[in-house]
Amino acid sequence: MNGNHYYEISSLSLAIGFLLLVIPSGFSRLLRLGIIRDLIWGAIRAAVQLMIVGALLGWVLSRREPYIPLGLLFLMLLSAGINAQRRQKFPYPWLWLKATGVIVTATILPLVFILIFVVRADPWYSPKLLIPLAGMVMGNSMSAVVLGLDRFYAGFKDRWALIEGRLALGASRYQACLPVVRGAARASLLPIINTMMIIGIVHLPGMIVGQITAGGDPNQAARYQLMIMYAIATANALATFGVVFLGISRFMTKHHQIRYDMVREDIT
Amino acid sequence: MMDLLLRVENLRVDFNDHMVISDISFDLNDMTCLMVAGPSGSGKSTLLKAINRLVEPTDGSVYLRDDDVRQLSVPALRARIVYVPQSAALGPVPVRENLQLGLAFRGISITEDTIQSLLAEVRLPPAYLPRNTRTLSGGEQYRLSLAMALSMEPEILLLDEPTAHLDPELTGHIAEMISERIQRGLSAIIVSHDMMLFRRLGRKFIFLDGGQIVKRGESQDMEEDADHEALWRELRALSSYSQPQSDT
Repeated sequence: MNGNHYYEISSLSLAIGFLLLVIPSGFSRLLRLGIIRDLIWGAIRAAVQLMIVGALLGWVLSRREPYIPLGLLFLMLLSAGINAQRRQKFPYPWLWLKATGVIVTATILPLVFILIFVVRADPWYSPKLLIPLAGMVMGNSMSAVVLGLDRFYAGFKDRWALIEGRLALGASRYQACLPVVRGAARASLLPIINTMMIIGIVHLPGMIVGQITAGGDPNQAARYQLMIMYAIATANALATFGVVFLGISRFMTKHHQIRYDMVREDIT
Repeated sequence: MMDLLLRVENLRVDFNDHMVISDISFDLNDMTCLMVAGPSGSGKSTLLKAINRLVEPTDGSVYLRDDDVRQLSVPALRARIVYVPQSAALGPVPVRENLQLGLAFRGISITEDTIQSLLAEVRLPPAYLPRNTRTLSGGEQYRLSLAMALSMEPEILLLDEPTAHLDPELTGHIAEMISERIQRGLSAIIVSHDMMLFRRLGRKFIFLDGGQIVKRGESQDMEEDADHEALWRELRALSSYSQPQSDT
């Protein structure tokens, strides 16, 4: 235990922790799952990535210049946008740029609100707060973008005839897509709602665990966690709203017409 | 003499660089009906959709009264020229909610009297109002779609195979209802091979094949008209492929 009241993990201790993976590896061998190599490779990748992030964050947190945490934030957002495209079932050119735009908007708004009005960080870009909070909100925004777009595209392909019927009655493209939008929005928002329902009862999230094991006050840790949940819910809603516009502009023309070539192969 | 309501000039629609319809021209006057027939894949549905811009024409023009439809707001155009697809695509909500939909898109509330009169017009009982559309038969769903279209009080109704899901008695009723609506000011373009509809409404017709008009005409009694004997034979053949289903 050190002066900050947390238990340090040495490299040797970390190596001992790695031994835990013998159990899932054993299961994999017993059941012939064929995933031992992936499991070990995943564990090594995670170790290398987190060591690099730990070292990078150590350097970032030691600096006072605002462009360093903000630059890192920019790279994180760009990476989230590119990953959102890679994880799409229906990718298309320049989606990464549009997805990045949605993730930036969805992440920055609740994040800045929290930093300025809730935590009252000074300076507001304090890397110690900005980077970990942004990481959590952004990861969820990215998932909301991927899930929301997937659901919207699947819903649109499945229900284009319903949308056509609504357009035929004089609906705008936004009015016509409402049933599909509702499905996509529910799919994006339900995970965070479910998490909020069970948080603290059957699930202790990483932020609380991290703060407590690092010697922080559990009461404050819970408050931080609560705040981050609200930010994630807001970010998910904003991300969903954004991807719905992406989806509508992808599947429909500005003249409120379905792009039939994207939903069906015949037209008569 | 009746005024010109719709003029279609050299209309062409391509889809993925393939021509679907081409060089389609015709006029439609106030309070008249145009029947459209042709084999499967001849572009009949695409023609209807191109008229109210559900599908964007590749070339040619459509004029509603004297206005080029491209100059009109698309939702406003579709409130004036309403398309009813062959298979009703209704949301899984109560019948009442569906009847309110068209006017709700324009921010207008439908009155209870209008709802009751629309139901009577398409022969759906008022007891159906709270029922989910999923519980309706195909024919009932189509008649609900028709009522939804009529709720918009359109100038032109575009009907795609309106009697495909109806039995002969209901087909006769729908033909009569459309005929009455036409006398009250509606115009219609109807894609159908139904002999009864042709007999009741088909004084003016076009026949499509390969995306083009191969025959057009106007006749008081097509069955008696030697010029249209071949067309009548083709209609009979097409009808045999689209026998009406029982609507229970």
